[in-house]
Amino acid sequence: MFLLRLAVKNLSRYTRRTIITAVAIAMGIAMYLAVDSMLLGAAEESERNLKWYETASLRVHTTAWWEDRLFLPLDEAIEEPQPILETIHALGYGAVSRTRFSAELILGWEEFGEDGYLPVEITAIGEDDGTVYRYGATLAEGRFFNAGEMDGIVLGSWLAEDIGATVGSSLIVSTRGKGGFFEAFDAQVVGLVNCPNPNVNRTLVMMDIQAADQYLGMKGAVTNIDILVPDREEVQSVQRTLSQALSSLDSSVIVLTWKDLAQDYLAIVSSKQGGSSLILFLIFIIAAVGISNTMLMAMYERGGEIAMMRAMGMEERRLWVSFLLEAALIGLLGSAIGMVLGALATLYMVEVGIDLSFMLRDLDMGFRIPSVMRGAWSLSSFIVAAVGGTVLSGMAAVIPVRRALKSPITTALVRL
Amino acid sequence: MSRKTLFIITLLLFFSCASLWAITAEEIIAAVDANTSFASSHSSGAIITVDRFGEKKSTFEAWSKGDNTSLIEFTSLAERGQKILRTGSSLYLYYPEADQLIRLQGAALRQSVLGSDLSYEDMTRESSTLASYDATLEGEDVIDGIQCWIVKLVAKSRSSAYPIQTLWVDQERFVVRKGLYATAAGRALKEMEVIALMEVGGVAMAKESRIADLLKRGSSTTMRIESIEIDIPLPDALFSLENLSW
Amino acid sequence: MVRLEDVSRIYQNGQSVVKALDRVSLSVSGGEFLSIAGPSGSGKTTMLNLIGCLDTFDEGELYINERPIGGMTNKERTAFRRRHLGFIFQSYNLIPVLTAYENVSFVLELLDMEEKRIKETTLHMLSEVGLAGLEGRRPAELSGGQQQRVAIARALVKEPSIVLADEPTANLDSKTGEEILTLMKTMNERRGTTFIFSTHDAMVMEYARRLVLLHDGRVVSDEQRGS
Ligand SMILES: Nc1ncnc2c1ncn2[C@@H]1O[C@H](COP(=O)(O)OP(=O)(O)OP(=O)(O)O)[C@@H](O)[C@H]1O
Ligand SMILES: [Mg+2]
Repeated sequence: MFLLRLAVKNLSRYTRRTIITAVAIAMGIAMYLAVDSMLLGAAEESERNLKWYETASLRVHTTAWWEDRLFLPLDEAIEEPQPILETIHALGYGAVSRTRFSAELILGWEEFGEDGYLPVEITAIGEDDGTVYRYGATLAEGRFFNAGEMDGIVLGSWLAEDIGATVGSSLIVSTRGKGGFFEAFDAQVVGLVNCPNPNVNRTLVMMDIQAADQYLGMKGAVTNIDILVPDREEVQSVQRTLSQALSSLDSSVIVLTWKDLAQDYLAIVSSKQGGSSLILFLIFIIAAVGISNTMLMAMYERGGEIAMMRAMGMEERRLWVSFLLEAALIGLLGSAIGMVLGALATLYMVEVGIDLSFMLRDLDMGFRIPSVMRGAWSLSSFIVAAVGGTVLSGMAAVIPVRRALKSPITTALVRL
Repeated sequence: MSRKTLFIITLLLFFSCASLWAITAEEIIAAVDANTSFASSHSSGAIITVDRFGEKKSTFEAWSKGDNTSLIEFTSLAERGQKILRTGSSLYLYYPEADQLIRLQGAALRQSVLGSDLSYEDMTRESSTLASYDATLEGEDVIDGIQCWIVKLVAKSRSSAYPIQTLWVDQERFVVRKGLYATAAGRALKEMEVIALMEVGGVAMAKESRIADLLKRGSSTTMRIESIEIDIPLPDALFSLENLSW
Repeated sequence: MVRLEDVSRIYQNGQSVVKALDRVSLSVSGGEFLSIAGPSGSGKTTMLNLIGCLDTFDEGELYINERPIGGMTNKERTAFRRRHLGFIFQSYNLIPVLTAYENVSFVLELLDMEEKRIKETTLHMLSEVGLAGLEGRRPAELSGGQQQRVAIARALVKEPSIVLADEPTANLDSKTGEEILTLMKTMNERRGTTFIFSTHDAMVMEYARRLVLLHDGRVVSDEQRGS
């Protein structure tokens, strides 16, 4: 108690220096909290938009398809999707089959003003797709194709904009069927979706799965079965359950989580997270240097006093506690101010957000967020920042204190 | 003339009338296949690809032995040293800048060669057309003043790239003069025309041919053989993997 | 109480070797009021530092309360100082952010004394040195003499057996210096605490009951004085 009082009183002695150091730490912590909130918000929203529009929670593929996934090989499709779907439904999860294949959209000049072609991935979906995905609410124009409609396709709005397609545009789809034969068919854009997931908006081409089955010669086979896992359940554990259940049914299939499917996104997130750790690290370096310097000056100015206390028989342990406490208090003060500023920044990020529409349209940041980047609250980040700021500040004092305590008492006394 | 002999003649007459022509579609295709297979060959030539971005010319040197062993080495500046080796049913690509050897399998074989209308699988195709296609004789036509058979080939399985091919075969020299490749529904995808012929070892073969992509207007691939020697001795080591990185 | 037996302290600065104390033997009994005098550089501070267990010596042995100090670890010496020794410094060395009261009581905190006794003892001590009513003042609000009184209170509050003072009056004018010396002597008499202080001021030496004269690290005279 006495030591704490001493530390507080010692701090009050260099108000200016203490405040400057604390404010530096506070700015750092506030910045970290703001960036962290932004990244967390983007991550939460991205995950939701990935699951809702891109990957679902879990997906069943054949092992061979997964190994060759770059080519979207129809030859490695799931031949008997029905029993798998039934097994998953029986376990209480929503599941739909889909077929994804690579194709070229051939655009004629009569329709588009110039000849062109565009390699795309086409997703063929069934009527029940809405039990897993949420495209229903994203339709911006036109309509969805009907079951069995042979020539209706739906495009992501940005893709449509890029190629100059509108509802009613007709084009040719050229692809290779299961086995490798060439196929080409006429298609008409019947609808456009405007989806909060920019990757989908930029690339989506959808058609009916029955039509695709006929064109591609699938004979009932599909490339994947996509599964919805409710938020309250843990995706990994459901993955294990399903793997178990399916292994006896069809040994050629694997169950993948959205994380396996969205490697690109995870890589981005972890690199961004790396960035925020770097900020954190830099902040702590700044804090450490600031505190270290402040304490070094304090130790120097108070050399005589320290020598006196040591002469009086004050144990090293108590001296350490006293000075580390002093440094930690600067950190605590900085953290407190930083948390208030950080909370304000986070509040702004959560309520208003930063409008990135000017860059998200053309720049793939990896995040699956629409125009406004919003923050999220993270109690743990606040705790980490505050505890980290305080503890590290204390630790930054170690070197100056050790230096002060190493010097012989007598020389310090002489300096008086 | 016995009754029996008379019966046979009647039968023969009946059949020859029924089939209008003396030659069958299978015979035509077999003759075409025979004309394009050699014990070995060494050739050089060029592939000229035209698309909406412009024209690109790649030159190559090629060696082949038997029906399913071949090596292509590109000699044009942009892709100098790139090699494609086919041994049996395997296909390997070698990239000299990266000193990288890649084995192509499955769906990867469907990729295009240097952005042309040719794919790697075109290079590993069965030498016997009749193994994969059912042939019917559709009629006759005149191409560039040459009398041709029109043979329609329908793929036996879905693993043939073109479900329907229509070939115009020179009636005298049994060389394909023109081909039309279509989807199962009959939509024409590509058209091949022979622009120039040459005589090699007593048989005619295409010196220059052009494949036009009918879906992508203005896009075509021209293949030209500048020189060819056939039935020459070639060492087996030429077609080894080790040789690729030399 | 304090016994130096052939104690030497040698400073070595590169090439030059200074024998700050040269085989000094000295015996001090309990309750003495002893002044160590001598010209500048004669070894006064060195000797007080040694007796104060703040420094180590190179030869001989030092006994305090019959305990040999030479073999003690740093930790043991710290504990020994805490328990048995009091210090008064030339420049008072008070903690500027603490009040007079706190500057004194902190010594007792180090001894883990209970709060109530700390308060009683400290207040009593401060009134004994004539600072009753000034307990709440910070050093900056006190005169030099008053500050040195706080320092004396701080040195004595834990009732040490020995108080060491290196030139305690050097920073004070002569009148205040005399007041301080009178106070020290009063405490010596009233409490029986041994005082050892250094000086090169003849006036100060007058107060001593025993005067040890150092020259070039040697004891050149040692005389008892009546007072
Ligand atoms: N840390 C040190 N390093 C080297 N020499 C030292 C050191 N401290 C003291 N000395 C030397 O030891 C001798 C005794 O010094 P000391 O400080 O004990 O003298 P003093 O009698 O207290 O002098 P003053 O009256 O000036 O305070 C001097 O020659 C001094 O130069
Ligand atoms: Mg001195």
